[in-house]
Amino acid sequence: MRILFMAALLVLATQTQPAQAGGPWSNQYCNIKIIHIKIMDNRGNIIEERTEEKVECEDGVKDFLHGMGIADSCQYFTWWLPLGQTRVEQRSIACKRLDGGYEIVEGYHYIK
Amino acid sequence: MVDMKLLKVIIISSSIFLLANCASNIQTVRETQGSFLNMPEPISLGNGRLAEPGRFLWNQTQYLRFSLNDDEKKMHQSAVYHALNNTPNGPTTEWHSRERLTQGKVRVIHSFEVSNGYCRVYQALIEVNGATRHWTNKACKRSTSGDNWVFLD
Repeated sequence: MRILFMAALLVLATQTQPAQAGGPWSNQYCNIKIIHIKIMDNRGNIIEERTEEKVECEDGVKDFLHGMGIADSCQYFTWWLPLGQTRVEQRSIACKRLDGGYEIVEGYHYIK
Repeated sequence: MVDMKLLKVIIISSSIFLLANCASNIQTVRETQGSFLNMPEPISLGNGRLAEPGRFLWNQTQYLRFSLNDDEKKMHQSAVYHALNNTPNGPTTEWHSRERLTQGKVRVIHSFEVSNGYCRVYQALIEVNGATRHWTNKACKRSTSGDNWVFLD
């Protein structure tokens, strides 16, 4: 009886696999973003300075996009836009759709 | 003699029938699947326009005379630069507005090398409330242009 119990336990132990987070994306659900905050008065004197850590989780959204057949992957892309005599780096997100095309995600355009 | 005439008539009529049949079988080549199907045939730039050097860095004509809001302009600009910098010839980069029936598509249709750089010909399409316009443009990136894309229009 004990041998049977041990054998069953052994089978269960070998069958158990580590949880795969992020579906087809990666094994990481969340990333930690470090934000430096400086609060200054009108004269430029630093009143308060602190560092905050923010946890951002986005793999769930990516899994949803993939699962619904909307997108295969989404990533930031950058380009340089000439403005007067200077060039400004711009950033947006494009998702690669399952049909091979790409889609710009609305509301994620930033100037770096 | 009558047989010869009959033979001539048969030969001529069968020739006419064959020619007519061939003519009816001539079809234009069309794509039946793939991302090219989702956009109209691109307007040809022609050899003259293709050889012209670009003049513009980025101007309002890219919005194809549509009155787009700021978000839509940013998305269209993003799509153009994404297509130029990140995609091969063919795949479309699209954008859609959540607020109204507005969308845009950009695809590179031809790429070629020039002295000190390379050029890409692309087709841009914008649709606002059912009205659609599309245009073919050329962008070149040369070492002399400070690594900027310089557009024909």
